[in-house]
Amino acid sequence: MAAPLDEQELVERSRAGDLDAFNSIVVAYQDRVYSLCLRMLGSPQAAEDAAQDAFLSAYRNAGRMRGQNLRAWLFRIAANVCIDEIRRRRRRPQLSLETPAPDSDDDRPLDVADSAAGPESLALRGELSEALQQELLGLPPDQRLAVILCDVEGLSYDEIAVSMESTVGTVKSRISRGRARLRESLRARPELFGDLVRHTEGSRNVIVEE
Amino acid sequence: MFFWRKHPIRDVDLSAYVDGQLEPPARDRLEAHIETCTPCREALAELRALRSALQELPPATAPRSFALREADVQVQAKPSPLLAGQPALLGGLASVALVAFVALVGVDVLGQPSAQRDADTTSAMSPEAVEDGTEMRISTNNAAGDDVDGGNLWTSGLETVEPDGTGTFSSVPPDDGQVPKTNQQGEIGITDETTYSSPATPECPPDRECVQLRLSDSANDEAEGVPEAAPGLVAEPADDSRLPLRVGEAAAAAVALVAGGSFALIWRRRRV
Repeated sequence: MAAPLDEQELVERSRAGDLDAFNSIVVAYQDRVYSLCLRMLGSPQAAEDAAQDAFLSAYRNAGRMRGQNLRAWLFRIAANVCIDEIRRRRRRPQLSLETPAPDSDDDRPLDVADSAAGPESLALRGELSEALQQELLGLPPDQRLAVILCDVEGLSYDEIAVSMESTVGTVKSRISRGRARLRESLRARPELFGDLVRHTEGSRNVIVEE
Repeated sequence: MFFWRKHPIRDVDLSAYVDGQLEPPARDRLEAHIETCTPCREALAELRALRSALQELPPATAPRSFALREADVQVQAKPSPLLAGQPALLGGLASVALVAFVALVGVDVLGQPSAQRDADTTSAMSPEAVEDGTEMRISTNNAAGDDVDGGNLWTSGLETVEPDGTGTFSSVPPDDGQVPKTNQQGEIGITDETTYSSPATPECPPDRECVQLRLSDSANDEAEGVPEAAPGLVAEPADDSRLPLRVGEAAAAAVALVAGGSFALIWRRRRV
């Protein structure tokens, strides 16, 4: 991802400890970092804490910040915070917060204008999103992160490899295994998934080919 | 997924194909295969539907600004500017501390007279007890400065020592018979200062000390005529070196613990 010139400058100033410059980066990326944390953790409160921790950690490590791949670098820090949190929960399961994000449903029908689907289909998609988020939380953290970075956040395999401190081959494999598990789970909901499959196939030349 | 097993197309290739990440030779093979394979076409359709559904998950908006305040940064961001981010330095410190610790322990153990080491390891007597009671007695008695005799004197004179510092004293009584019977075979106590004088009181009655000395090592003491032991001349190597070594060990152990702990903490933090 090519960084805009002013972003380069913000990075340079942040590396020198300029808090205002760093906060400009925070404001530019906080929605996406929070979104990643929310998808990874499933709880708005946990996501908020994780995002704050991630930015604090990013500031501490600003010396290693680079202009190119800033997004992947920030995602990597946020992902590490989230995976630590997931492991912490696993050790102390009574603190589990893996509930669906209640307020993520409110703004559900956001930009579905691309599809020719009717209102009924939109409602089904809302339900599908809900189910998908739940299934995502059931994936092992590595696969969950890979699928979210690829499909939800739209990163390239190379960027995901940077974010996961891994190789493209490993990334491919994690995405594939994560998707396979999601597919298995969604087959059990044919009323949601079947409709989507038919719809996607019908318009796949528009949606998928890039 | 089970029906893919009999196909030459792998899961990971189908997944990569959906993302447009399959390179030409494999991609051509896959596309040719799909033309003739219904299960693979269905699998591909499901993968595309899944991808599309994931892409349409509503983007979340940060519930508040995550911009950092000066306070956040100053309190937490630079906990130890000197050492933060320098695990190598911390690791070095920890290694040095560890080596020092091992060396000091080694010197302590190897440097003791063998007799005293035996006494230390077998009697389970606390260091305070040793200093207050037994070693004091040795110091004042062994005024001639004979280390080996001092060590032997102690262990031959003290058979069993209880954790509270008392013990059974069972030396061979001297020929001259001046020793009170109770001291030949009886209890000694670390607080029994009437019987065993401390090195800090050189003016202790010489006769009493002589008696004790002869009680323990009569042959040597008869030759020397000992009793006027000045505290400065007391030769008891273990007694001189023990305390500083203990302090050194404790310091080295503390440094090693602290350095190791910070090393682990910072190493973990760097991961994040």
